[in-house]
Amino acid sequence: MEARDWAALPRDILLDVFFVLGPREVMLGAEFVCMAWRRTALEEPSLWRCIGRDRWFGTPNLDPETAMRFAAVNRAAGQCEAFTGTCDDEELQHLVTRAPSLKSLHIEHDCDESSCEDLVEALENLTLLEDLRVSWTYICHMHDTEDLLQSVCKACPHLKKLRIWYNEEFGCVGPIDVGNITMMHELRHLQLYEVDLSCYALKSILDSCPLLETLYIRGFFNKRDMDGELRMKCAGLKKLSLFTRSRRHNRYVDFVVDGFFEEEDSD
Amino acid sequence: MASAGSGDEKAAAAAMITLISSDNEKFEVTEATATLSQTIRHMIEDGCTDGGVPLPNVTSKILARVIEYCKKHATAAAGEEGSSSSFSDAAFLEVDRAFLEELEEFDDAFLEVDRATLFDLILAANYLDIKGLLNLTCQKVADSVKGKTPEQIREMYNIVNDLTPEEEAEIRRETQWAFE
Repeated sequence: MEARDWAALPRDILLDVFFVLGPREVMLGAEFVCMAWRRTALEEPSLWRCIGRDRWFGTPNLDPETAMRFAAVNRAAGQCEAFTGTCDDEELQHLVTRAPSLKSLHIEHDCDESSCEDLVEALENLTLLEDLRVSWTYICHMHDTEDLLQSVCKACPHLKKLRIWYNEEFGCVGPIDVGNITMMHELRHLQLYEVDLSCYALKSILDSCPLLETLYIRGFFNKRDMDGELRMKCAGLKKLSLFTRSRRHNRYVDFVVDGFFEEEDSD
Repeated sequence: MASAGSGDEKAAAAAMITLISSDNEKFEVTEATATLSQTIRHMIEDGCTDGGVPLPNVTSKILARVIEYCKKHATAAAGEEGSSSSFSDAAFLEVDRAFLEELEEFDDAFLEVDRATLFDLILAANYLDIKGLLNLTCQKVADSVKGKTPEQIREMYNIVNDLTPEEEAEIRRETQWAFE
């Protein structure tokens, strides 16, 4: 068999292969193969635009995987648009500085402090952010005056998709008592997990998100308190899913408005 | 092989294009087949295909395979278009799925080649600008590399490691300086 020089594969083609492989695979194998492959990996920032989506999930913090992810962020040279992973405040700060163009951020926030101030402050830097998912590895207490949802909305008023996962393990973080939420003119999809929600707060959310299409809520919510007006507001949504449970039994009662029933948004 | 397509009744009526390989073998194909290649499509649009299209970068062995791919995919594309009006939705979906399955089987079988042929197919797909074939072949390479160590990849593709131990060590250190 006549030999072919795979090291001399044209760069565009090798890049196509690398794009299929994804950042993680490239960093673990392909880029060590030879100088030509190494250069291709390093000299193409667009290769590192979406980080953490290729089997980078669920790894503990401060391990080689995390370090690798952030090395990949550096290589993106500011072009990184999507990041998925776990990070603490320091890493988050690094991330927003090196990846100011993030459109999609899916993080598990890992921190010893029981405050989300730093998180919210970091989010303010991401002016292009459209899709945010955030959950915590610790119990998250907010200031007395401001709810987490309120803070996140204030920091990222241009979000189109938002998923907040309050911490269930230690009980809910206290009832959301939302006063005014920043008007979220572009928000279309909202998911709140393990939340403690009042009818007042739900109404406030609906009023602040005129374009909201889907709303997914799991946690404590007393559906019997819903009045006619609130039900009318809910009917304006394309899809509403309320998986609620009572405080006494701590058991979920599926409640779906208008026949819509959605298990869980997989995306 | 040189008169590929001569038995195709439809092809006789359609416009035919002659492709000439690097070793001077001639292949007659329909315009529908040839225009899966953006490179050839542009040549046809510019009206410079009289007397055949010379493809100095593609051998007859590889060109035959590329044409095989284009014929299959051009037929599939035409079949989809043609059937959309004459079937009910359900029937159409059924036909559509059958087409896709058949096409997938064809692609899988098509990729059962040695690495040298795969390499040549990639370069040909790139030169002829056939997006589907390029994606298919690049995916094949990516699949073969996935989960492999650098050493395994080198062995598989006969690549000489020209990184010095120092360079390799530096690469491995990279993840540590990421935060400094």
